[in-house]
Amino acid sequence: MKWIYPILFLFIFNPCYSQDSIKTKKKWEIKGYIKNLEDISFDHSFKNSTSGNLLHNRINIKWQPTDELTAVAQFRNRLFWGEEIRLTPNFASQLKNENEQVNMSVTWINKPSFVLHTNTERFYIDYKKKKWSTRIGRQRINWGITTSWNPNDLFNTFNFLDFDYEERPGTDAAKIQYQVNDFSNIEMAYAFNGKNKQNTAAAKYTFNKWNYDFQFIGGMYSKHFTLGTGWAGSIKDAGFKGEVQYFFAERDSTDHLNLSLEWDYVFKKGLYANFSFLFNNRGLSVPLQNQNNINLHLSPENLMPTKWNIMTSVSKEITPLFSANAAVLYAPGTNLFIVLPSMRYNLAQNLDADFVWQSFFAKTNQDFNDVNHRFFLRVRWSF
Amino acid sequence: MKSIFGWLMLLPFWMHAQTAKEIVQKADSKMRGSSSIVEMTIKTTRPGWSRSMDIKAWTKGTDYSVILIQSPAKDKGVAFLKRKKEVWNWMPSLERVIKLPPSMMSQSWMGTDFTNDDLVKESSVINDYDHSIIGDTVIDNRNCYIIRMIPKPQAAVVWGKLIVCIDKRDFIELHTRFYDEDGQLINIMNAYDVKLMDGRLIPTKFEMIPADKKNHKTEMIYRNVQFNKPVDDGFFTTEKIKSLT
Repeated sequence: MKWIYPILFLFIFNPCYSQDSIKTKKKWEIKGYIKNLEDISFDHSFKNSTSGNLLHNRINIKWQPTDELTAVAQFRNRLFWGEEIRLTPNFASQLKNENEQVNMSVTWINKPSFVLHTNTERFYIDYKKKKWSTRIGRQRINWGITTSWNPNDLFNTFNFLDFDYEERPGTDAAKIQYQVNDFSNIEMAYAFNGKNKQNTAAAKYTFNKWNYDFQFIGGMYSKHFTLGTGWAGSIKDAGFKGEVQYFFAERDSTDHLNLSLEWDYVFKKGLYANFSFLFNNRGLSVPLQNQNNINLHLSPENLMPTKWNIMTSVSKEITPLFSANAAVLYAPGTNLFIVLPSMRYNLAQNLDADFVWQSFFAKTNQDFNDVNHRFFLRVRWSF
Repeated sequence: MKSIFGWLMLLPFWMHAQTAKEIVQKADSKMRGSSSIVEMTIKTTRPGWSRSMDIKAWTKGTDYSVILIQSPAKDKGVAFLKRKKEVWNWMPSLERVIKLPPSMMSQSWMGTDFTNDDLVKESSVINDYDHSIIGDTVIDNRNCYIIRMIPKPQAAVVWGKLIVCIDKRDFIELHTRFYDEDGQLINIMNAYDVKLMDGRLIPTKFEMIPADKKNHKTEMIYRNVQFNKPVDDGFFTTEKIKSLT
C-alpha cells in the first residue's frame, strides 16, 4: 500500500492541481421541487368564492461535459383541478407562454375540471471560450435590475402578481456575450417571439464605475426602435436602482416610455424596506367605470395598466424559520390599490409553507370598493 | 553577580515577551491568508429545532470574497460576491444578479448568529482595539493568555469590550466574550477540535452562543480549508458567480 503515498503527495501538493480548488462543478445536476398550491378567490364584498388546486413540479437538469459546454433542460409539470379550472373556458389553451415560438409543451390530460400540462421551460446549450460565450435555445434573457418592475427586460416581461412562477418564462433566442474586462461586457440577443415581425433584437453594454453598475440598451422590439438605460448603486447605505426604456413611435403606433426607480434599505434588526415607483406614459390615469375591464396583459411597453404606480414593501425575518412580507401598491389617478401580505414558514430543512394574500381595491365613480381577494396556501418540497 | 544572574534569568522573557497586540495578530493571521478557500457547515440551533447549511467561501485579501451556498436544496447555487464596498447576490432560480444595499452588510446572515460583516469583512481586531494581557487560564489542556480588547475611541465597532483567550504555544483563539458598550455580555465564542488543516494547526469547530438566549447557538464546522492558494481577481466578478455550480 505504500505506493499510494507518493501519488497522494503529488495530488495534494502539485501546484498544477491548486486551481482545482476553485471548482465546485459536477458533470450532472438534477434538482427541482414539488409544490402544492391551494387558492380561493372572492369577488367584490366576499360574495362568491372560487377555489383552485395546483400540484406543481419543476425538474432542472444540467449537464456539463467540459468547462466550456453546458446543456440545460428544465421542465414544469402542472396538474390543475377543481372549480376554477371548470369555470375558466379553454383553460388548457391559456397555459402556453406567449414568448415561446416553438411549441414544446404537452397537455397530457384535458378534462373540464382536470388538466395535466408539461412545458419545456429551458432548453439550451451554452458555450464559453475565453472572453466569449453564446447560448442558443429556450432561455431567460434577464436584463432587469430593479425588483418590482423592469423596463429594461425586453425579452421576458412577467406579471409581478404571479408569485408562484419565480423562474419566469423563457424565450426562444440566441445570445452572444463578450467580456470586455472583469466588470464590463457586451451582450447581443435575438429572440423569436412567435408572431410575425414581432421578434426582438437588442444589444446591451454593462460596466461598473463609481460603485454603480450601469447598462445601456438599444435595439428593435417588434418593429419599434428602442433605447434604454439602467443602474444599481447606493446613496449612503440605501440601495438606489433605476431603469428607463423608450420605444419610438411608428406610423401605426405611439411612443412608449417606462421608468422605474427603487430605493431599498435594511434597518437594524433586519427589517428590509423597499420603495418602488413606475411611470408608464401610456397608462391609465383616470378612474375606470368598470374595474373588471382593467387589462393586466403586460408587455415591455406596458408594465402596468396604470400610469403612476408606487409600491412599498417591508419584509422581516421574525425567527430564522418564519418570515413575513407586506406590500402595498397604489396607482394615483385610477385609484387602484393592491394589498399583498405574505408569510413563510420553514417546516423542515427542505419543506416550506407560504401563505399569500392579494386584495384589489379601486375607486369607481365616487365609491372606494374592493374588487376581489385571493388567498393562497402553498407547501414546497425542494430537492 | 547576583544582579547579572537576575538579568540573565529575565532575558528569555524579554526575547519572548510579546505585546498583547502581537499575540492577537498571530492568532488572527493563523486563520487568514493572502487568500483562503473554506468549505464549512453552519448549524443553527434554537429551542425545538435546528437547521444546517453548507457553504464554500473564497477570500482574497481584504477586498474580495465569494460565498456559495451548497445546501439546503432550495438555496443551492445562491452566491454572494463582495468587492470592496459593493455586494451582489446571484439567485439561480431567477437567473439574476441583484445588487444589495450597503446596509445589508451589518445584518444577521441567513438566520445565523453571524452578521454579513463577520463573514466577509476583514476583522478589525488588530487596528481598532487597544490590547492588554490581564491573566492566563487553561482551556482544553492548553495554556492560554487572557487578553482584554477595548475599542479605540474613533473605531467604528459594535462591541464595547472583548475578552479573548489565546493558546500560548500555537496562538489559537479558543474562547472569546463579546460585551456591549454598557459592559453587558452579549455573545460567547468557543473554538474546538484543533486539527492540522492545510499545514496549519487551527480549530475546526466554532460555536457562537448568545448570552441572554437559552438554547440558542450557531456552530461553524470547517470541512476543508486551504490558505494562500492562487485565486485570480477575475474570479471575484458577477460573471463568475453565475457559473459556480
